[in-house]
Amino acid sequence: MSETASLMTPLEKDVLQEIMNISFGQAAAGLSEVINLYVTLSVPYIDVLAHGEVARYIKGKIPDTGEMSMVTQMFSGNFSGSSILIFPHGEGKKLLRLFNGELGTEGHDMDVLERESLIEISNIIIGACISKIAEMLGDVVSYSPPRFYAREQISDALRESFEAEGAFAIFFKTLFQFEEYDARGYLFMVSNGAALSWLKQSIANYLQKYAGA
Amino acid sequence: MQAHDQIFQNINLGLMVLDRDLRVRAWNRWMELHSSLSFAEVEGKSILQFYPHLAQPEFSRFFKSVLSFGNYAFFSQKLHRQLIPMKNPHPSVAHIPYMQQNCTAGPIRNDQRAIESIYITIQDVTEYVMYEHRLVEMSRLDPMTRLLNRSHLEQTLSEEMSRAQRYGTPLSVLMIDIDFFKSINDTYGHVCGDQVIKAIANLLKDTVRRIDVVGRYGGEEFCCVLPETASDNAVLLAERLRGMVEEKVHTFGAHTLKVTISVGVAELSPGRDTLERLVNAADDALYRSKHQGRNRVTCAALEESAPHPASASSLLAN
Repeated sequence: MSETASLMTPLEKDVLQEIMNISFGQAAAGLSEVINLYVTLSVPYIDVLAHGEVARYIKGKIPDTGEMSMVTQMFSGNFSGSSILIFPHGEGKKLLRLFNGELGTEGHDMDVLERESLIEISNIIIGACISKIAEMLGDVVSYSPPRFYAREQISDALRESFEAEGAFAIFFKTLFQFEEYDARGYLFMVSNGAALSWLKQSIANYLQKYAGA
Repeated sequence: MQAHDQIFQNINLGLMVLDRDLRVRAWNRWMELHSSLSFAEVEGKSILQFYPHLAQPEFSRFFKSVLSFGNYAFFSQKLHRQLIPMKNPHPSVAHIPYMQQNCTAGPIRNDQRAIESIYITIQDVTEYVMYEHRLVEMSRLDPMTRLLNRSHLEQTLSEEMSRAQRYGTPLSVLMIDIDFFKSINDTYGHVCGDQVIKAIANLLKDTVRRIDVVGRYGGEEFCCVLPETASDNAVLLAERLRGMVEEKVHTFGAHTLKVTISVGVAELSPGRDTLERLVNAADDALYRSKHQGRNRVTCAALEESAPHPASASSLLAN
């Protein structure tokens, strides 16, 4: 157990876990109801890490970043940080079917179309997940535009995004799967450490409200 | 007018606000200019009344994700071309009739932080799209003949080979070389040589089928990729091309001249399953055509040469 883990009590971690479970359930429901996008999100895994460890940790979870595509998007509110969606390279081509009949695809190569559709879909998934978490915590967040990285760019982008600062990060990992397209990927959320005291307070509020503690 | 209103009206960007029922709440001057609809005409009315195609899932996904999740959403030109059909205001209108648009949308919240409406921005990216098309074209085409250049031809050939191998369909290639080209350049100059190359390129382009691909392989060397074509039919086409070139009279200033071509044909086969092997087989066949007197067609698989007499030089100067 790392030193940073003690920044959150086991109870707080449990409550956060519950908040995440509910949020992701609602996000998945929202995605299917609102835009007919059927996504399964696995039970999220939560940890508190030193900021500098994040890049290494993500790379450790992904077998081969050289064969992946990545979309990142920053969010800011009381709860701020980055969300990272990682797909095996080529997986996005399956999602192109989502746009069937809507696209005039002539003249563009598949890599460009794959990139554009991953950005569009990732933006929606990230928006759904983050907004539900924020809502549960009584926050409203805004988002920066998504950015796309492919293959060998991923490693550098991760390193640059999470270079030191000495701060720690609350780290969430989940797997998501598009049922009808047989496509899957990883979703990571890294909340920046500045949100910790606010997060602890929100967790306390949540406990009071729902657990009567 | 407030500063923000002035910016809203004068910015070189389409801006509109739609409420939860898709009714237009704001519409800036840029929108009025390019849509030919004034704010007074659209105010309070559903956008679908003016643009019924927005009932499609692509727009509802964009709109509803902002409304439900409060996120910043994108509508990319590369995937969708445009959100609101508007005439292309640039000189490129002859090539691209509609303005190409990159759009974004985000939530507008009330004092209770509930999402009441969404804003949409429309950016005109038509000129970028034009440059992009030009760059793609420049990277794919030989500037003189407008045929595919060698690298793009090889890419196309390797894609066609994979397709043929996957579906078990035949595929043939023709390697074509203009006979005694150097002497045209030496006799009439390079301008005349270029003119002959262009004329042959056009003849090839106009004669092959739509699914066939013609590229300029080198100086006076061309390559045709013929999908779903076995060598017997490829030889028939090669023969036809050879005959047409032989008949064609080129006029250059006061001179008229005729040229001929030599052709090598090779069909994809188990022993000839890589790009290099297939191209080499066609090249070897072309070499045999040259060696046997030029102005003829040789097929790699069948070792058949066309029954045309060799002419030492079919370059007929006048």
